[in-house]
Amino acid sequence: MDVNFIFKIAAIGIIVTVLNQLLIRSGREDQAMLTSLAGLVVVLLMVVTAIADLFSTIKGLFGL
Amino acid sequence: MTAVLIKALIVLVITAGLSLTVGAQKPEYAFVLSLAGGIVVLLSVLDAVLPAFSQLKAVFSKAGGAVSFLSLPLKALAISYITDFAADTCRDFGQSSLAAKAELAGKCAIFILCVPSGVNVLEAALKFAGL
Repeated sequence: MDVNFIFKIAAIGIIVTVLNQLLIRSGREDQAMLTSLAGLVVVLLMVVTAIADLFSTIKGLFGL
Repeated sequence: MTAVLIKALIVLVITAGLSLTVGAQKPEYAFVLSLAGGIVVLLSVLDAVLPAFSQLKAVFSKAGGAVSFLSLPLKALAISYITDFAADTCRDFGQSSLAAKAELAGKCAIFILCVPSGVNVLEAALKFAGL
């Protein structure tokens, strides 16, 4: 687990925002919505694995 | 530990800045970013504190059977940490009622954890009283 993890999430956010703006400007609102949804799902998957990592670390450390 | 502390503080400030910038465009990313920053900092702090715990455990195991006196508070500490983590995350995003439920669940878990020791104490007291 590193700082790169946070930077990855922020980079995905920025890229998705730019793609969203581009797609909306070119009149494809539905694709823009799908893009932002896909970005959110990817980021949430990353965070969920990190949360599982954190909880298993705490379990191991404190002997729960 | 000082290096870990400085790293954690820097990570937290960077996370706050990123979640401010990205969250202005897409508020859902502010949530994910603050969660990720919290996880990174907690994991690095726990990694740093691991040697101290093993030292304490070694000392207590020398006393013979006293490890259980150490493990109970440590378990309660772990439960309160993860409950606090979840409750603070909920509270950060305006769901204070969900945070209250998380805290209730944590309190119940610690209570259930402590009941056997409390029963042991009461039984010892009853034995002394001759009942």
